[in-house]
Amino acid sequence: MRYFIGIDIGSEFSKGVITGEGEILTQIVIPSGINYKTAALKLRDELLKSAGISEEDIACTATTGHGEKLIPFSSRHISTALCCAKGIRHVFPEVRTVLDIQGQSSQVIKLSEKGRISDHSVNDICASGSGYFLTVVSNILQIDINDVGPLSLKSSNPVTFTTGCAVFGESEAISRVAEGTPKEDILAGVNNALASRLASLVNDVGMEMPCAVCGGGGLNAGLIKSLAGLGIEADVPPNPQLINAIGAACFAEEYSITADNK
Amino acid sequence: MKELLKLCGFTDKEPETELARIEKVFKRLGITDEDIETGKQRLHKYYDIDLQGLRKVFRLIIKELVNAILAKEDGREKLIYGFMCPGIDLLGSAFMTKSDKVFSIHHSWAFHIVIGCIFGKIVPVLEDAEKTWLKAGAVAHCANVKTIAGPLSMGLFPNPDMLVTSAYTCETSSKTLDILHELYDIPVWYIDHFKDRAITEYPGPSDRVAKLTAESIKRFVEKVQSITGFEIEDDLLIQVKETKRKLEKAITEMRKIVINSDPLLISSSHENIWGCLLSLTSTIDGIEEATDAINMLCNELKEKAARGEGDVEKGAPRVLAICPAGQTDPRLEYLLCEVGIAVVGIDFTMGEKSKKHSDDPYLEMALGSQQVSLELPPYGRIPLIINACKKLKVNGVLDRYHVGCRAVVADALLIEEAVKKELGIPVMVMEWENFDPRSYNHQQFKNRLEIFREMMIENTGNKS
Ligand code: SF4
Repeated sequence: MRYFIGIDIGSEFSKGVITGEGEILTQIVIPSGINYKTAALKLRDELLKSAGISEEDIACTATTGHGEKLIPFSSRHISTALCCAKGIRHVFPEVRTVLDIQGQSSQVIKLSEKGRISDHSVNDICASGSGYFLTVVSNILQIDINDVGPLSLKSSNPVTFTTGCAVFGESEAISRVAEGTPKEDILAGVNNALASRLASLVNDVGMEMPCAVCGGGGLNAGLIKSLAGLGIEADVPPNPQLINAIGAACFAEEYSITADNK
Repeated sequence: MKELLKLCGFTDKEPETELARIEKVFKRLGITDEDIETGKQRLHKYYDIDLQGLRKVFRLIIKELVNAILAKEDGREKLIYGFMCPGIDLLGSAFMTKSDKVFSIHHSWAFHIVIGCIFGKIVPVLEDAEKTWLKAGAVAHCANVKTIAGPLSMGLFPNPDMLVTSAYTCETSSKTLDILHELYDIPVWYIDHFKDRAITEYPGPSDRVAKLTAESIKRFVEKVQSITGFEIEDDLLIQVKETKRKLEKAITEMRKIVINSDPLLISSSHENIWGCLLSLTSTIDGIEEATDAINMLCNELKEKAARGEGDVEKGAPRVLAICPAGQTDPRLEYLLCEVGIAVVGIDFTMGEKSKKHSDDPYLEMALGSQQVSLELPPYGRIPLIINACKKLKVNGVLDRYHVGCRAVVADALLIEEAVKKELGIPVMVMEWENFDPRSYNHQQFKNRLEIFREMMIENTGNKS
């Protein structure tokens, strides 16, 4: 069997999958740390070990995310939007709008029936609307980022944040902590603020159903609820943070087939 | 060094003195052996340097820079630098043709190409400008003005006897010259010109604006006459204009060959080279040399087309780009080719030629200066862009707006909305700084361009 690796180097986590004959054989998520090259090499080694195969069994590797020039074993580096579109089609072939919520940026991709990108909106310059806002607030509240979603769902009186900006939001969160506002209400407020920023990205492209959320943001059940409150009813695939890596593996397979045909 | 100069069109027949001058200037500019190697690599990577016509063009640009830097040592008594100023290239050529005691240069275009595009060394110049008078981040000035201030603060160019500008596109240029006057006591002159016109004055140039501008240009020439002691006759201006017209015609012809090509014959990184050539303030002989180089290039491009060669893959989506190619950094244009996007036109070069003409050379200059995209308010600029899209049959618009530029920044979203509504083609809006390589974000730009390409393919597929 021919195997393909897809790797997505994110600002916080690096994600990887190995596929073969269209099936995902193994998947791994590790922290990216400060050296993307090291993270990519470690991820590949762990993927190979977990799948019980060797480097020679890999027909092609494609990467996405950060560190394009740093990953020596990548045959092709592809943009996150293309990988996200490809990956979501792999798991949810019907999806027409996808929200990719990452640690440092978010993007909304509209897909045609054929699965091609027909419109796109991104906030990759400003951290508002990205997972970074949540990371900042969870640090202030001293809670694990993975607990943000479940805890925020317990809120009965979410705080209203006057800003979607991560910098101003940080000082607002500190004020609420000082006032003794419960953690769950602050977190629900952050999720609402994030959702409203994401909704404006969705508006830019115009939503078409079905809609899905991927990226680390998909793991935050509170955020999914806030989006639904704004009329964005989205499905979340299993392991949403792996979608771009899956897309990269699909591209690896396509390139390999194209190369074979040449 | 010899190899680099060969790539830039210098031959073995060049007089030793010329080579010594170049060496002297490169030394003054801090060009090291390592930079020479970098320069060779960049010329090969970003430009179609096998084209002999292009080499000749680079030769002219390098010569202009060398002449500017050595002007005082060459015995030029009066130096006049123009910046964002209507008619300065034509006037400069007339001054230089008239007297070899005067040197005039159109801002630092040749400097941008040589230091920025060839050697990739513009950033220290920007940083020096920021150090001496514009703190980075403190004031939102564009890097264009820093490329005027930096070389003066670093002592790379001799201080001129007059700086001339106009606030016709933005007030940044005139403010910058005010600061340079305060810092270095350089006399400054302003040409009145404005882009606010009534909607009823479109299309076509406004007589009202042209009259005001022409009178102001004339006052500038009178000032130059008073400090140099020679007279600039109307006949000389007409003769220079005629010679320049031939160069413009040759460049238009060349652009036509490129526009109609598939695969795209030559990448858009060359666009600012043609712009620089048009702005050179050479003597009449120099302009004729430039025209010959472009005619040679036209023939070479036709041969390249016949061989089926190009810089972008065949069938790549065709794009109109907003704002010129990177002025000091060709990487974005190169990336466009890599991603598979063919930039077939740039809004700045797509203005309709003025249908009004005048026998008065000043009025003629003023009429022509109103037809450029940068000089139009949105209600003039947007129709120009829409028409250009139709003419070029593009699949999308790359709205890479120069984020530091007062003149273009406000139009970006209006352009996006209008193009999408009227033409139904994708528009990619992207912030960048046309003069500052520090704004180049490879990953972010590549992401956007790959998405843009997908969107154009999808959109074209839907229409066919
Ligand atoms: S702000 Fe724009 S128009 Fe003004 S000097 Fe800078 S680039 Fe030129």
